[in-house]
Amino acid sequence: MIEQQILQVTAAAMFFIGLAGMAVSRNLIKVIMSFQVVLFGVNLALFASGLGPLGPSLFSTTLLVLSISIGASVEALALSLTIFVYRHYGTLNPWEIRRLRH
Amino acid sequence: MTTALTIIFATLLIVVTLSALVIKRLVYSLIMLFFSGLLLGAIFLIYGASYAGLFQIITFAGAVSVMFMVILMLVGGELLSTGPRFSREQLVGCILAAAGFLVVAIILWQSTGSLVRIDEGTVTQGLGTFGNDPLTFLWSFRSWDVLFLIILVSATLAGIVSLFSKEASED
Repeated sequence: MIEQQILQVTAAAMFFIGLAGMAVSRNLIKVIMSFQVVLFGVNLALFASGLGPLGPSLFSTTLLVLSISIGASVEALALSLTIFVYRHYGTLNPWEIRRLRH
Repeated sequence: MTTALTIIFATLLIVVTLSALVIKRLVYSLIMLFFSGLLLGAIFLIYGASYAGLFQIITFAGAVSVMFMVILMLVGGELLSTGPRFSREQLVGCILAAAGFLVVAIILWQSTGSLVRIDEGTVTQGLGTFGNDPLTFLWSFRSWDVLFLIILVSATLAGIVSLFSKEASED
């Protein structure tokens, strides 16, 4: 099924784009945005793995909704931690934060 | 028809996502990320997963984008996300990510027709015994999802409230 392969490759691309973004970014907000992209990739892979001739399976859709909820919760917590870090250290640069800790 | 739509939406999704991470100004980056969430929801909707698609759009294109915007308003000044130079470590990270993608993409593209499909048939084989299959276990206890989600969201809320109440008491 060609659509499934296209979606799987797109999911892999999203995952690695997000991973590269997390490695490259020098701003915590951008790191969380990259994390969201990784999450999109994982969600798409989950969805594509359940695709069949009759459409997506109920099981993969259930897991997908669970994954979306967990992802949103994790992001909310990460963003609140970012605000906490910004008020404490006055910067969002991870390298700068590490320097200030020592 | 679906194949053409899939190709168009998948290409758009990658382009929009890539531009979201490349653009330096965080506000524009956030707008691109909003469109990325919207496109992903549209892909789910094309294939008939309307519940997951709408949930994706409401959660990521709606709630999470608003949350990001509030955070940007609070943080304010730091709009430049990356430094002026592209360091060697960053270059190595990008190359490793590209290499990883190439490997996974080749494996996926080669595996015509042999991709594992997660469906009810796969997971209901051992129903009742649970066996060693984690998918069977998950499928059997899927109604617990709601309970786990409530616990998860409550824990997140408690964590956020605790963080800010601690900070307020320190002030």
